[in-house]
This record gives sequence, C-alpha cells and structure tokens, in this order.
Amino acid sequence: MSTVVTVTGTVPSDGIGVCTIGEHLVARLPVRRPERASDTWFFEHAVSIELLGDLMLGRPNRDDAILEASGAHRELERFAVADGRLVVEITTPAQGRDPAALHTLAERTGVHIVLAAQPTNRTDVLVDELQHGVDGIRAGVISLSDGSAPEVAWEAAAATGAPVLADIGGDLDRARSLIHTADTCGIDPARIAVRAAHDLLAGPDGVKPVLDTGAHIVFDRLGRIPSIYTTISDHEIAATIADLVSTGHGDRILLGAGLDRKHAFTTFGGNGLRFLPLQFLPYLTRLGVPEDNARRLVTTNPARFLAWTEPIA
Amino acid sequence: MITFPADIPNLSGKVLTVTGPADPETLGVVSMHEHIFLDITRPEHNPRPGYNSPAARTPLTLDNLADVRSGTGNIDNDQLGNFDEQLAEILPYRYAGGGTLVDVTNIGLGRDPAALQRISQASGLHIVMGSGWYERNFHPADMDDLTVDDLTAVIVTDVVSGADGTSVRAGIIGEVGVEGQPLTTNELKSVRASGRAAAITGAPITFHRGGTGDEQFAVLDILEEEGVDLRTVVMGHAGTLGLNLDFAQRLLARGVFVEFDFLGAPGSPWGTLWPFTDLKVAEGIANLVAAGYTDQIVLGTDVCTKLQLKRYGGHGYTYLLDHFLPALTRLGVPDAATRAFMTTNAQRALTFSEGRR
Repeated sequence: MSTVVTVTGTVPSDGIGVCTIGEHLVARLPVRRPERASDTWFFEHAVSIELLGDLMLGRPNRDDAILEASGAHRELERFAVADGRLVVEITTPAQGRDPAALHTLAERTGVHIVLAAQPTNRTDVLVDELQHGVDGIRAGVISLSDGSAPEVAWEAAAATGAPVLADIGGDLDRARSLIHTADTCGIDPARIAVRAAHDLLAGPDGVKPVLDTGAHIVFDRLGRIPSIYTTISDHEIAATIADLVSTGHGDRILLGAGLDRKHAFTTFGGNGLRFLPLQFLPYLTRLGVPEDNARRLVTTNPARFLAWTEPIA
Repeated sequence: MITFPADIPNLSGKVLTVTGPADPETLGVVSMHEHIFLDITRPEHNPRPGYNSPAARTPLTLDNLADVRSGTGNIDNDQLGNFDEQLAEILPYRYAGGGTLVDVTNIGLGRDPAALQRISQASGLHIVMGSGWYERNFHPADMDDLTVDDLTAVIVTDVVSGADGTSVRAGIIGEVGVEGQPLTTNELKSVRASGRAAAITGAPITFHRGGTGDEQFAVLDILEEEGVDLRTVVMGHAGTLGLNLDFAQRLLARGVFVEFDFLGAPGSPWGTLWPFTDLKVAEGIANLVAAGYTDQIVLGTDVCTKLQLKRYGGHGYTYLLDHFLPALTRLGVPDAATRAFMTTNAQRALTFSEGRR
C-alpha cells in the first residue's frame, strides 16, 4: 500500500482527500528593509486591516513575512471545513522551519502536514531527515530550490523513494536540465513536480515542454487577490488547466495557494487555502472541466505524487 | 403634464458641483465614477436574498473580511456613511493631486446631498452629484406606475432646484442603471426620462453599462430621439471594451465617452476570480489610444463597498492615480493621453450643454 509521509506519521495515499502543495504555515521569510522614510515606517508597522491594501500591492513589511502558528491554526481549521485534508509545507530551515510546531498544528487540526527537506551538500543527512526525521518528525518530500544541490536530491530520492518538488524560478531550461539529470540518476520524471508553473505561462511554449518530460507541474500561487500588477491571473491559469485537461494532461497537474505572507491568510482577509476547493475548482467546472477531473487535481494527483515509491537499489 | 421649476438656468459651458456652478478647467484631475456616500443594501420592497442572516449583519472587520471579499453578503460592506471615515478616505486623493470626484450615487442608493456638500467643503475637493435611477433592483416600489414625464420632472428638479428637498443640485444624470438582456420597460422609461431631462437642462448623462452589447445602440437611439447630444454621454463599466475593437469602434462612432472603472477592487459579490484583470482593461485602453480614441476615454475607480476603502483593506480612491495610470504609461500610453483622460476629457464630459429650457 502506498503511503504519504506526514509530520504525524505515514498515511495511506488512497482517499487522502483535498491537498494543497507549496505553502508556508510557520515561517520567518526574508524581506528587505526599504530605505525611504515613509516606506520604513510602513515596513515596521504590525500588519493591520488598514495596511492590507498596500501589502497586496507588494509594499514591504516585516510583520507580513512572519507567519505564526496561531494564524496557521485558524487557516487549517478553515481549510478543514472546506474539506481540506493535507498541506505540503515548504519552509526551509533558513526560513525558520519548525517541525515541532507543524506537528502540533497537524495534531490539533486534523489536517495532515508534509514537511519538506532541503538538500545541502550531504546525501546521508538528507536521507536521515526523510527516514528518521528531525527530532523524530520525518520530512515527506524533498524541496529543491535555487542554491540547493540537485545531485544530492536525486541520490536521496533514489535511496528513499521520496518525491521531489523543484523550484526552477520560471526558467524552462533549468527545468529541462534538472529533469534530465534526474533521469540519468534513475529517477522517474513523474516523481518530480516543477513549482511556480504560472511563471512558465508567459513563455511561448507554456508548460507543455515540462509536461512532455513526464514531470508534474504545480500551479502554486492560486487565490492571490488581483491588482494592476497581476500579469498571469487565476482565470488564465484556469483556462490553461481546462485546455490541458481536455488534451489529456490533467493527471500531471497539481495545485497550491503558495501562502507566504500574512495577508494571504484568511485571518488577514486573504483567500487562503480554502480558495482551492471553494472557489477555484468550481471555476474550473464553469470553464468546462468535468467536476471529477477538477477534483482529481487536488486529490488523486497529489496523492499519487506524494506517495513514496520503492527505493532504487 | 410635466411640472418644472419656473426658471431653468442656462448652465451651458459650466460644470455643476455640489457647491454650485464651476468653470470646467477649475476641476483639475477628475475621477469620473465614485461613491462617497452610498447604501446599496437595496430598498425594503426588494431586499437582497440572505441579508437577514447573522453573517450579513456582522460589521466588517478582519474577522469576516476574507468571507466578504469572496462574496458573502454583508450590510456594513454595502454602506458608505461615516462622514469622518469618508473624509479620511478622500483626502489622500486630493493629496495625490486629485481635484474632483464625481459621486454617481443616485436615487435609491442612499444619495446624501447635504453630506456631499459638507465633505466637499471639508476636503477642498469639487464634487459632482448624480441623479436619475440605478439598476432595476433599486427602482422605487411604484416604478411601474411612474411615467417618463414623472421621472423627468424628478431629475429636472434635482438639477435645477436641488435634490431630496435640499438646495444641493445634481450635476450629472446617472449612473443610469441599464442591465438589459433584455431591456425592460422600466429601464427604457428611465433612459428616456434621463434623455428628456438632459435635453431640457443641458446636464450630462453617465450610464451603468447602458445595456449589453447591441442594446447600447438602442439606448443611444432613445437619447437622440430626446434631443441629447451624445458627446455629453458616458458609457460606464466598459471593462475590456478596448480588446474588442470592432464593437468599440461602432460605439465610439456615436460620439460618446467610454469609461473604465471598477478598478482595484479586492473583492466583490463574485469573489476575486474574474475573467479579466485590471491589466487587460489597461491593455484595451492602450488599444483604443492607438486607434485614435484618446479624446473619448474617461476613468474612475468606482469605490462602492467598504472593502475597497483603505481603512478596510482596500486601495481607496487613489489607486487610479497611484497605480493604474503608471501601468498605462508602462503599456506605452503617452502622458498627454492619460492627462487628457483625467482632466480635459472628464471636464468636457461634465460640462453642461445648451438646454431646451
């Protein structure tokens, strides 16, 4: 039986329910302090309702980038009410990853949380995090980002059967080269999910070149409240997905809200995690995606991707 | 038989603000479609479904902001009424270089002439007030029984003597609500009365949509039958019109202004997931400019719910100046064009023509 590794233990991947991939729940994310006096004032001000308008337009604020367990708790509760069952959390140790806090959140809310492990320069350390965990709390996915060592990720993936999330920074060539090196290490491209797929939509070929390799793609920034600065809207992503589903690529698509600021959480007026089941899936259906197919994007697909496979000998 | 005020003044060449007639060029930068005082909770004879629920009756705070942004009906969100809060919201527009706000709140929407006059004086902003009737859900209970002449008389009185028993006069007819699909008898009466009153007083007209698709031409035909010069008519909520150049050209050939508004709203009854974005609207505007229609474009943000206010997590009345106009510039719209949208075009759109009197 295939299982997903969560912070509270392994769970069967079958029937796991609604999943979201690529979230920060508890984190202290980097944000650069601005220089101009009025911006500095704004930067230092605690997030409150009057600040939300400017925060949504990208004005830097220190507090906005500090995600606390209390807000995450409320978010997970609301996600659960909307049928949400699992969150893949991608915070790195440098960003204040807190396995113990995530463990408590999962226990208290009943929502499964998958912890991510980042490859450094030692495969054995990564494998240990995946197999034995940090203070006994196991990571369930490898998260590869700019600056982390891909070959370590592939070795650990081969040794454990863990899935790999890859942040390619919107660079299609990087995606192709990563997937190619994984392939040469014996990693099935289907075990890889390329994040920030929306960034690829600006290119002439869109996400097709990645899908053609057999890898998954994750649209992991859904539910951002649009403004004049929104270039790829949720509507355009939905239309792209509708097209991909109708041409038989639906089983490689994964979804997430990409929470990374307080103002994206429902407690601060954002659309939060529940946007996926409550708003986005019905919208896909209105665009002609059959309801079952839409639901598979947040259930069967992530369950298949997140389920660990047999190690490659 | 219509009974009109005895003397209909000749305001030709002037703009009529809540503090009296003004020369158009004194208006400065104009946002053509706003609401400062507003109540869109609907009249008692036609309550909005679900508005008796506890959720609808809970004041708007961080606790329910996410729900209301994504479409949960909320009475507090539908009301702009706190004078001090509204003053604090519109002052940044003045600080950002704004000179005039057109409050297109009209009959049935909680229009508040005295408060508008007071906030104009408090803020130093010119404010132009609306008249006529909004969309059908806000029509009065006896709308079926009212004739075109009945409706015309009300608008003429608003413009000539003052609205709602005050001496504060309306300077524009609208936003005249026309949803269409199909055009209803009462909508057509409202359109014809707006045209008739415009022809009598010389006041400009601004539409909420003005019908859907080709219905807009039927609406403009009615105005012409009533003797309205279509160059003083604004077709609001034009959205992505500029991405459909064929239709846009047919509409603009009639001489009307088209207005791009409802910008930057962080939530709505339909949530935040829409078929088009502000950027698409801006791209459409750039198309229209390239096609030579610069002089027929005006802009507004259409603040019409609390969640659009800065105090409630929105972008307020300054989004247009601070964020939307720069985006037009990035899309290659010349500065002279954006300046025209905000100044000369809007000033011309608000200027009274010679009425029939």
